[in-house]
Amino acid sequence: MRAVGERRDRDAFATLFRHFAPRLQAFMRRLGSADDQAEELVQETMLMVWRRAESFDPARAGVRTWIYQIARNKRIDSFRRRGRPEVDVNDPAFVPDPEPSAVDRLEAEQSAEQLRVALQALPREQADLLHMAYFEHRSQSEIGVALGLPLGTVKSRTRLALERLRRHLQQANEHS
Amino acid sequence: MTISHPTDTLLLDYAAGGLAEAMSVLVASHLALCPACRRAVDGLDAIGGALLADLPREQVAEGALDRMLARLDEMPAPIPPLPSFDGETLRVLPAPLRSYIGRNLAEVEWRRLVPGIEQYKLPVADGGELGATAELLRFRPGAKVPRHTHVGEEAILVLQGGFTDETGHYVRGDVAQGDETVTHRPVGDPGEPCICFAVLDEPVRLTGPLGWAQKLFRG
Ligand SMILES: [Zn+2]
Repeated sequence: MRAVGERRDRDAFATLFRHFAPRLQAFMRRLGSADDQAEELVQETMLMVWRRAESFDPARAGVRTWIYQIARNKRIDSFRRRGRPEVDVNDPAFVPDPEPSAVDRLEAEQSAEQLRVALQALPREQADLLHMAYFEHRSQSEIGVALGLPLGTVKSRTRLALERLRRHLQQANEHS
Repeated sequence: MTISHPTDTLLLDYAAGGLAEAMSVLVASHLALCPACRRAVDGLDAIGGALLADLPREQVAEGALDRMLARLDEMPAPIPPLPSFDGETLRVLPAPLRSYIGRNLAEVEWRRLVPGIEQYKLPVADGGELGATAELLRFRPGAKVPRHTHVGEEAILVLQGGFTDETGHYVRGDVAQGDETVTHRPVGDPGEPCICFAVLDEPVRLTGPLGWAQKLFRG
């Protein structure tokens, strides 16, 4: 990723593309887009990765999180014809972080893999809710309607899922 | 110092991409002002990153990489320039909201709703779906909004000054959220006028005797 950002290295970008394109393809297809449409969205996403690589800040987010953010925004733009407002750190009104905590950031990087493990261990009904939210862009209340569940039930299941993830990450950090 | 934050549900909906545009402008504007919620959303985005990384890989069409590499030198589509904003506007409106308003605060065409309270409706896409509205509100100090409750959800982000209602006191950066279970009557703080960004996904329902103010937030 650094090679892409600093040296505009096309080989490094090709490696990144080979790794992420099949996953992005699956992500785009989750909302039911046809193959060629999905490829277009994958390309739009990766083109943005190329153009914005210099602004990628590994202290703030892992590569997969950063690519998820770009892919999500592309999807919202294209499927719902919605704009996606973005926070701008150069905004005069922007309130910066009180102290850039190096420890937190190190943990964020280390925990990416742990997070994946924790997600795989979630009970099915909790994982399903997260999939509906992240893959189908449904709000918590839309999920309630789709599943015929009261909003309160959806919210409490989601809260359980998030607490479980948090606990798992804490334990993983204590043992490392 | 921000004390009232969007609910976890609202932050999750934002991170997962499930919010209507008007509400996502509100959340993004709060994030610009609130490091704590930015950190929370970073964590929720990391869940998205992990879910993405774990998706079963799907076959990419033949030649996709070559087509990709051929596009790297494409020029980005030009972004329409925003007007240059004055100091007051840059100080009061966070970037996500500023880009939707597209003009200086001094040039906003305020419309009087009731004595002491003015409104400016924002053009946002898909506002119609749920009858959602997005608007700036300006309260003169001491101005009282008629008592009301909501059919859907309401979120109000304070941008300047403050207001007080039955649920608390809100100042710049704070988000007040209400739904059909909350009946409230906000009053503008003394001092400078209170400017808020309000998003409603359904019309308000008045609980007081003042039926005329039914259109208060609808215009
Ligand atoms: Zn906050």
